[in-house]
Amino acid sequence: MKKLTLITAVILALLLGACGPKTDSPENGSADEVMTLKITMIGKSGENPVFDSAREGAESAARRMTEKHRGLELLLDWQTPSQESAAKQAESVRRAADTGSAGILVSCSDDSLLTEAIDYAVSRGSAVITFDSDAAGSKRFSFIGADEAELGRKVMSAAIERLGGSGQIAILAGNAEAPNLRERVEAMMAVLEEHPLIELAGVFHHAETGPEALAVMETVNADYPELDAWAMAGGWPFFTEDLMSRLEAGKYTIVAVDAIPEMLQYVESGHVQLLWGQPSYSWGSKGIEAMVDSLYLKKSVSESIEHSVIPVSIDNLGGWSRQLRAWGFRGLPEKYLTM
Amino acid sequence: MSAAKTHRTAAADKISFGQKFSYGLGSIVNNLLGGAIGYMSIVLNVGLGINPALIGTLQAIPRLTDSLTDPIMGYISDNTRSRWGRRKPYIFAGAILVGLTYALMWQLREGYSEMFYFWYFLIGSIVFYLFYTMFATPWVALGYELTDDYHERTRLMGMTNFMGQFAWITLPWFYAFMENDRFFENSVEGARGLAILIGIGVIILGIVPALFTKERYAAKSESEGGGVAISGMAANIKNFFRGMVITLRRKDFLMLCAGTFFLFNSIQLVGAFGSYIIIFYVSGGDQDMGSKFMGLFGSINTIATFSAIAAVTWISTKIGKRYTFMLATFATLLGSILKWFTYDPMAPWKVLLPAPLIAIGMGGLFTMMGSMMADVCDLDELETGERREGMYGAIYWWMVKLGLALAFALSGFLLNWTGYDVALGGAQSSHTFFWMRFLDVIIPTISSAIAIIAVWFYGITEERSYEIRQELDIRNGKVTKTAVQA
Repeated sequence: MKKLTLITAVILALLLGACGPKTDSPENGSADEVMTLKITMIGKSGENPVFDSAREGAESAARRMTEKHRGLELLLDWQTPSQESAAKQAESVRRAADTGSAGILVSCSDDSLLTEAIDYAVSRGSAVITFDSDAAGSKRFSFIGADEAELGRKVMSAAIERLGGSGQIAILAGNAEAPNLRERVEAMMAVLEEHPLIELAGVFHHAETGPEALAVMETVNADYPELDAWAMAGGWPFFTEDLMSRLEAGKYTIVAVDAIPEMLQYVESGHVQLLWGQPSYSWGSKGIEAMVDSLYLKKSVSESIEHSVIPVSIDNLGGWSRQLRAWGFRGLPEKYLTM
Repeated sequence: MSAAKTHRTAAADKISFGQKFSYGLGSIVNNLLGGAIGYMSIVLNVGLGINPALIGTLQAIPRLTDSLTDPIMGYISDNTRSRWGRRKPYIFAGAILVGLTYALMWQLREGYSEMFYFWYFLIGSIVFYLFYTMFATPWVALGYELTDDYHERTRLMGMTNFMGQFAWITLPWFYAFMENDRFFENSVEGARGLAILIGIGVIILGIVPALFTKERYAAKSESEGGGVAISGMAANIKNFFRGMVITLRRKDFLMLCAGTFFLFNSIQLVGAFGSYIIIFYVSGGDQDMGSKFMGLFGSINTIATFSAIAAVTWISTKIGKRYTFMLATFATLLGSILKWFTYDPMAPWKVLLPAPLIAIGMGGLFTMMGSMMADVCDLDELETGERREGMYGAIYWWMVKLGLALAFALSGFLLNWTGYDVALGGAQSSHTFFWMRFLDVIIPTISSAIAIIAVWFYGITEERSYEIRQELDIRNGKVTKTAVQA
């Protein structure tokens, strides 16, 4: 619509043989004036493919934005630590601010550690958006992610529904310091309070790697022989190939957050009944769009940009796989893509 | 007279290229208006989140009212007496009003309730279709009046249909245009902008037939005085219903109606499925990719239709209209089946393969049907002594529009029935995709087969048609200036 208005305005100006005064809008700048924005993107861990998808979304959005706005050049600076480390993230945030990043997109492994770094970056003139995992107390101007409490409620409710309203359940909770995980777990606990026939075996934290999560899971399975189900705040155990041989399919009802390609084989095998997939692609795409809106177009951006989550089961494994491929995930088995 | 004989049009019966062209511009408007809502309505679901069943209802109700207003508009136009003629004032005013209405009815913004959108769009659609009828009905009638010559009428309709195809080239690109980030923030804003462009185009092109096409009966109308002859309305309504009964008893006409109803409406019915399957199944929810393939599919389809119009016209002179129609429809049947094998997420480009085959039947449909309808009218005159193209045309197009309304309504309900959930995007269940694809294939396949069978029972062969024409010429004397060439 803006384009149409612009075209109409240009035609009218030519017809009238008059030119109006220049405005401050970057869209009205001369063809030679190019604004270059460096955007630093920091995921939690290079080992977690959801952040590769977020990067794909960011790159795609950057291409679209630079095509759309001829006076804009976007430089994407990927600074995700190879292994999860809030300290390294904080260091990257500070360095990005010191080296002239106009915008920083960060998924916070530990909000308490990142808040100070984010505030430092903002004081140096960088605009910061958090995604996936927030640092709500910081001076970031927006957060992109799911409604974490709603996501936690969905996971626990689906697990309880599959148990028929009674049984013993354990919560796999990941990093105890990650604010998004804390929020999910708190919501799960709140749902449990509404179901007196559901017994909680415990909330189990661990480092967010496949082997560590699987080790915790095996320990709990051994310690709680009556255990019926797992409600998982993340899909960490499925990041390892070992799960297939070390866990009997169907023995436990499992509902988990995330539905990345590595996890889909366990949906097919029956190890997990339901995943809640996050449009991780949109963390990057919406992040870049919000940065451009704020830094280039000078538009106001909502403090919270929420996205919905999508249930993934054996019923829609094919559709979800194709959706993942469209979002830039690679290596999806052909048998899923043609389901 | 044998079927091998050809007729030559007398110079006085020929229509100039300029007249054909100015009239033909109206077909671009007519097709644009006929197809634009259907192609843009995906925004109501994807952009504004309206339930597909409600969208089907939104499209069906105005088409039902449209079906009722057509004969009324025809009556008003037929009985108008003005210095500008019986058709052109309505074409002129209708083009302007329908263009404005179309632009306004799409000025929707996000943030309102589903029922708000429903009522806003429903009221807008009813007004839009009223003005569409105001433009289209006199425009169609004007075309029937431009010449009495059998072949010149065919050439006029051929050129009109050919020009009208340019609308069908642009229609499949609407979604890609509305989704284009370079022009619009989102598809809802895209719909607002596109509707304004369409409205402007409709007004500019739509008034051309009114301004430049000569109305043959304009002088006569003026001499009979101004205004609308209301006094004969009751008698005309009585005649209308009497004629309708006679018309509906004619088996050959009913076979043509059945052939059109099943072929045309089945393609329209699955049109909605086609879009969703290409975007969400083949393209995995990648709307940019999906919209490009939809555009390419539509454009290939339209280019093939151009070729098909020329081909079926030529083939019909060799094997007759009936066999030509059946052959062309069989191509559509094959193309529909082919979709099951070529809609492949591993090779999205294959969605383009069935397009030319499907186009052949659609290209042949209205070319051959128009021609065959004229033959039916000749037979009717032979048996009743009356020329009733208007009645046959009205009922035929009423049937087409009623079928379209049903197809639009049913498409939304069928989409819901498959389990489609807009919130899931490309992650619909395998069950949902199976039924979407199954219906996309089976409905046009079976309908094409029924259309072929229906036209198989159409009894006016080429030889019989010439016999009828000869008998009419003998009965009426030499009523035209047509020369017969051995």
